[in-house]
Amino acid sequence: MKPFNDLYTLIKKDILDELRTGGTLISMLLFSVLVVVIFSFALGTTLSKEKELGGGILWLTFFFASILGLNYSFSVEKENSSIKAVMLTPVDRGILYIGKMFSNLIFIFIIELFTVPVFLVFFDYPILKIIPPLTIVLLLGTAGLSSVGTILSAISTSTKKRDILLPLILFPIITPVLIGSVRCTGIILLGGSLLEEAGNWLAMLAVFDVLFIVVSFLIYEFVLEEL
Amino acid sequence: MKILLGILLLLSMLVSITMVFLVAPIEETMGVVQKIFYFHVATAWVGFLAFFVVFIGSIGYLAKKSRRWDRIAYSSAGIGVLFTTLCLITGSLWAKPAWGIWWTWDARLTSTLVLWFMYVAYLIVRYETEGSERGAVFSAVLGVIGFVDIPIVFMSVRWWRTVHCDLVIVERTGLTPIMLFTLLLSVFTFTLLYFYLLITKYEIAKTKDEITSLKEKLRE
Repeated sequence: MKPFNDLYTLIKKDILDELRTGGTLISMLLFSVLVVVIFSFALGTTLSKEKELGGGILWLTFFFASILGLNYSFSVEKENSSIKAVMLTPVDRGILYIGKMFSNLIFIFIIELFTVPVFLVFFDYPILKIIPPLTIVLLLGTAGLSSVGTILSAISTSTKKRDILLPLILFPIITPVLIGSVRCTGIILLGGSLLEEAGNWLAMLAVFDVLFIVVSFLIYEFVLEEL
Repeated sequence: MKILLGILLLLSMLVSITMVFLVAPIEETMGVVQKIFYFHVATAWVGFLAFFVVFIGSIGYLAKKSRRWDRIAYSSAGIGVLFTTLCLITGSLWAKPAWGIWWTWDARLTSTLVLWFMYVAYLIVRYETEGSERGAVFSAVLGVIGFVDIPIVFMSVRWWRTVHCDLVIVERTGLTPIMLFTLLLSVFTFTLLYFYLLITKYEIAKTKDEITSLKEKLRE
């Protein structure tokens, strides 16, 4: 299957690039752990179990950290105009989008996987009980984040304002992702059952993901031509 | 065409203002302050209409790559932000005497605020890429993504609010027929105003494009 081979090559390229030049992933990870620590300074070390502050802290951390990663993911492509070389390959433009989206998804997801245990330890939550259901929410939320984030970071890195522009255009659009993920995470942290109490939120996250992957897949080529 | 629209708009404005302030009855519980309702609803409507036109213009531009569609989308976005701002302000002014607070995280208010942020970002992208082909494409992409997002934002915000307790329940007070008529007239007037502004902004954008191309010719 050619599209899948192309996808594999594209994602491998991004991962190899990250491994060889290094540093971005580590910086993002340090940043997100640092934000969690700062939150504990700001809010106290034990979160009131009544309120769903935990979900909010986690997702704000991920949103900020992913801004760093998303900005970097395109500025590195534009160095030496290597994006032009990628565009010259006989691969459908939509596949280029899916590839970039998946590498962003993978990077952000790795960061989340390392940050979550630290968060759970710092704020004294039962780790083993929380991580399995939380993984589903992390995947759905991060897919939404990177589906829109990928195409918008392509836009923001091509303007004068660059880094500051991405959160401005990205955050309003992914409001539903933030709300949905925070609710689901809150329910998990309070010990509730994810499928029973947050089924509609999970469905909304899934709809958001599918919708924006399809829309971005269709309009990505217009953005690429202007980079 | 534009002059005709202008005359019609002026007449419609005069009649609407008369209706709102002199003919429509004063609401029992809220008093005179309720009259802001005629402006509030109309600005909200124009805001949504404008963003819908942005969506249509954006799709048109991506499909045809003609500056015409881009001008429509861009002009409409500016007007949409203006009217959404007015809608938020008039809403706030009305909320204080009616509910006792300037702002509440009610589903409708919150979604309007998110919408406002979205299209302000659209204008910023526009500003950062002033006049270029690139800017037109980028904002068209934002115009499409933003509009597709609106139903999901609405839905999520509604769910988000219903889980918490409702601070304020918007009372559905019955409108008398005359009030309803005034409201519809006011909405109609504001729609005319929208189209008048759209045509004007479109013409300005067109003139700007012409000046740029003339300057380029001179340079050659």
